[in-house]
Amino acid sequence: MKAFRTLYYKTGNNMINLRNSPFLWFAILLIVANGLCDMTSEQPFSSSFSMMLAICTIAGVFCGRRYSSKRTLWPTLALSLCILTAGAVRYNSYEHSLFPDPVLAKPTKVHLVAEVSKVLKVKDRATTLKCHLLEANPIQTDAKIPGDKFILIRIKGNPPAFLPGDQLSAPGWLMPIQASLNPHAFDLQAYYRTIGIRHQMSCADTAMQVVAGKRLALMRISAHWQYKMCKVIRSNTSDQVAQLTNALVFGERSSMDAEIRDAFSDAGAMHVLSVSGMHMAIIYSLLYLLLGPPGKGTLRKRWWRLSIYTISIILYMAITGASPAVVRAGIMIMLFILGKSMGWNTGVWNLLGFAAFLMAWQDPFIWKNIGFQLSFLAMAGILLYTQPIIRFLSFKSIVLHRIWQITAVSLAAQIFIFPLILFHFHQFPLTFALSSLIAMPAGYLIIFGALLNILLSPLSIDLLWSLFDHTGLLFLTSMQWLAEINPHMNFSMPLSTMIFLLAAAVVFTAGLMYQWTSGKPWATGCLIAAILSLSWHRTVQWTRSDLTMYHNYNGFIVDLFDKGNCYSLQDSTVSDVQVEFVARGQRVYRDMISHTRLDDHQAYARANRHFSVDGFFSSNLSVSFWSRNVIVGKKQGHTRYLVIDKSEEPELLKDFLKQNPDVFTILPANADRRLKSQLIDFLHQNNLRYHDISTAGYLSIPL
Amino acid sequence: MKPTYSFTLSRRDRITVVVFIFLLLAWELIKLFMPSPMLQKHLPTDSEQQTPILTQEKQQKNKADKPFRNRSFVPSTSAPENSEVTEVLEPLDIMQATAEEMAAIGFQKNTARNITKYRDAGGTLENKEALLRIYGMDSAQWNKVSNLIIFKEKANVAATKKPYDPNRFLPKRIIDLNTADIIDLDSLPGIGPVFAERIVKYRNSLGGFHHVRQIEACYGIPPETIEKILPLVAIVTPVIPKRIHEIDWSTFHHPYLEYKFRPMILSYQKHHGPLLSESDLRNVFPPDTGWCDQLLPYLSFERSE
Repeated sequence: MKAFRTLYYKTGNNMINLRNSPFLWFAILLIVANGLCDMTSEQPFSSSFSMMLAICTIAGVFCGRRYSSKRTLWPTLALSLCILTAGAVRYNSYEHSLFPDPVLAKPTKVHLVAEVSKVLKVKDRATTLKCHLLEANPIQTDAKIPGDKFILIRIKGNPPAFLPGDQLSAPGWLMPIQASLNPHAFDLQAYYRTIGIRHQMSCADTAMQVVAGKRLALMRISAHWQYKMCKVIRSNTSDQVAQLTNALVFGERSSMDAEIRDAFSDAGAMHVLSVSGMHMAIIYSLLYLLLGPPGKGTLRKRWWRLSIYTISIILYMAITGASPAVVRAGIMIMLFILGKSMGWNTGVWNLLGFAAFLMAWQDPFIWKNIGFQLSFLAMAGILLYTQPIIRFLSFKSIVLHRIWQITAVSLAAQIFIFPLILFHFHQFPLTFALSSLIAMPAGYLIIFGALLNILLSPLSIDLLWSLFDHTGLLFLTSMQWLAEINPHMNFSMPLSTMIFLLAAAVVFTAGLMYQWTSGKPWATGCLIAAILSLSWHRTVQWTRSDLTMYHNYNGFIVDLFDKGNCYSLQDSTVSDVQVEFVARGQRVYRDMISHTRLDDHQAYARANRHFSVDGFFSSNLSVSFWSRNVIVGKKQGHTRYLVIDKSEEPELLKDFLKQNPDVFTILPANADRRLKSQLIDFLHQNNLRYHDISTAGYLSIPL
Repeated sequence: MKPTYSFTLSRRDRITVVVFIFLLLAWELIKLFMPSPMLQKHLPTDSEQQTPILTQEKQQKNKADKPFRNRSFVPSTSAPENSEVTEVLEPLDIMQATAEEMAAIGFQKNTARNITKYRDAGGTLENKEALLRIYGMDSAQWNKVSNLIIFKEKANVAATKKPYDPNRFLPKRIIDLNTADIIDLDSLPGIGPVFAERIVKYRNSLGGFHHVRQIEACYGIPPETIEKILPLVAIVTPVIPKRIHEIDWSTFHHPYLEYKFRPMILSYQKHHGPLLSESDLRNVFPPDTGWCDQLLPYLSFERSE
């Protein structure tokens, strides 16, 4: 307690403290409250929740009564408890407003009417929309439909372009979004839950009716403007440059080629394609060039300037889709400009904290959004470490100094986000500094050029489009070249290592900021713990062997992990994209050394193990494919698995299964449905063991 | 005294960070130096050779009838996500093509299966609309295959099959649009209580329909529903027009009279006297007299006795 008091009073004189950055602490407390509520999943007004509220309220009152002008610790504790309580209440009421009823137990046929809230994805033959659920009537059943606020609608075919506010009416099957049925695959259920969606419905474009929405809604107007401006860009530039410009300037990435996206991702400039604080800063600097400093001139001029700045920033936020990173930057910049115009103190940490507090209050699920996490952590890293890093080197040449400044910003941004990037994306581009060096000035040119050309196009001035096109192509080429020189990584980082690395960064920073002498040794300890946990993880994964059969409706995929290497078999109908989605998570988690795809004439053999297109065979285990017709005979202590995806003679198959009741049947997700339903009935009747991958998920057999 | 704080990275800190980053990189790059796996040559089960650990129990009666010959694990080229038809294909008769042929030209497998099932059950696919009604069919597939299919009637049923009449099960009662109430309109296919109420409201605001196509202007009714109900509705009771000299233009409201025309009419009356004939009305805002044509059926220029 004494050490805490000493630390608390000492922090009062340092860089970031409760007096000069109160909102930063409020934001941290609010996010902690949201996190705790999420982990405990307490229902509002349950007994334990009420008890927690009561304790916090009593403690808050008690602390408040201990206030005196000389002691600030008790009021601080009182305020902190109030924020925690308010955060918990807000989380629960928000969750209840989004999900008032339990999840649907099984798919139900409904006719629903929904209003488009956001267009999530537009692909060749499918459009995904996030919609407000207005009405849902069950068809030929009296099942109770949950009153969720949002729903995901997937439309197959080529529907017309949607704008927020459009109402659509369609029949279809309403079902809950399933958790991932593959190991360590991207969890769609958890992701959609963070944006308030639990259920989805698919319908064909021909079965759907659309009514245009209210014209004057802000989101509709901004989406309409985004669509129009993207159209102008597309009609005046080459295809790839149009995709790049629309993504960089307007945040329209739905029609972007995977090639361009991969090039930027591998080069380490993916942040350029996601509209974020950098783009907002570019817009601010363009406005600064046009309008001048916000704090200059008479009060009237400052008010005019403030209005124009604010309207422009809000419009840009709306046009680019208001992602968390853009909203964070927009709020900070607007408050900064307001402070400058009014002559107020504009502490940047307080601005950051206020933006985080506002966003976390409005959407208590936002702390789980990776964009939100990366945006704030990168900003924190830039604010803390840019100047110290710049001070490492000094150059007489102004050009070199500027280059070093830009590089220092890129390096500083990585301090806190490096563990998250490795954990979520399993790779870290080594050329990130060089790509940022190219991307930042190129970003300026692209944004400025696009806006200028759009403004000139109604006047039929098209001179600058070709120059703009060349600039865009040069930028793309440089990113593609950088992507090629980066080694491909599949970094396997367990959660514990990520937590240790993040803790090391935070503790190290706290040690520097508050002159805490134990900070650096603790940070070094966290780094050592991270290395140890990484080693432990690798040892465990490289000594385990198993056979994993994935869930995939389009074809069969099976991986054998042995001694850290991965050997796989997959049907020729499965595309690379599907394999990436289904199997990459598991392959990366297993820290595989290499991956080999076996063809018809290759086999992996080691000790007593043999893996080929005929199946997997060892001394005590065999996994055969019914279609390959290679089945080990019954042996004592030998476990037999049989994978059945097709059978032209089901009676023959049933006879075999009856005669061999020890065989464990595996039904892949891509198996013929009619055969599967017949077999499942048969297996139930005869009390035979089986695993249906389509309902139960992947199967992993330890070897 | 102004508080002082220093936030600098010492040389030792920098070295620690750089060493740690190199360690993490090396952790990943070490995999490049691990020995690569050795694979064996494998002879598929088509051949006579058998590996010693395997014991085969042949379940098939006839080797020549081996199923799943096209099942392959060949990794040389992966299946593209959207396979495009690159070779020139002859158009297929949708009523004769097999499921495999349809899948080859761009139909999805499930859709091709559903089409063959539909045909086998006696259905005919005469045009695009009929094809789009097949379960699993969507406009994206249509765009892909529209140039590669032709619609012909099935040879053995074309002569005897009657054209599909969507209304053949519906009662042939004709509803008078100008006197029907909500219950009468609700009985029309595709019209429920909401649309029926809208039609009645719109009719009351107009003063009656003088042409069946006027219901197209009702908010929200899809065009397909309009086409479906047109044969079942008619105008039996005519519209009762309003005498023009009895109209107070300052307060007169009609859906076909735009707000901007009312002051024009009042101004015209002020300068030229009351409106007595059709030509007076057309003179209010020439040359656009389209609004006149819509409004005229609701006006009468007869003078009362």
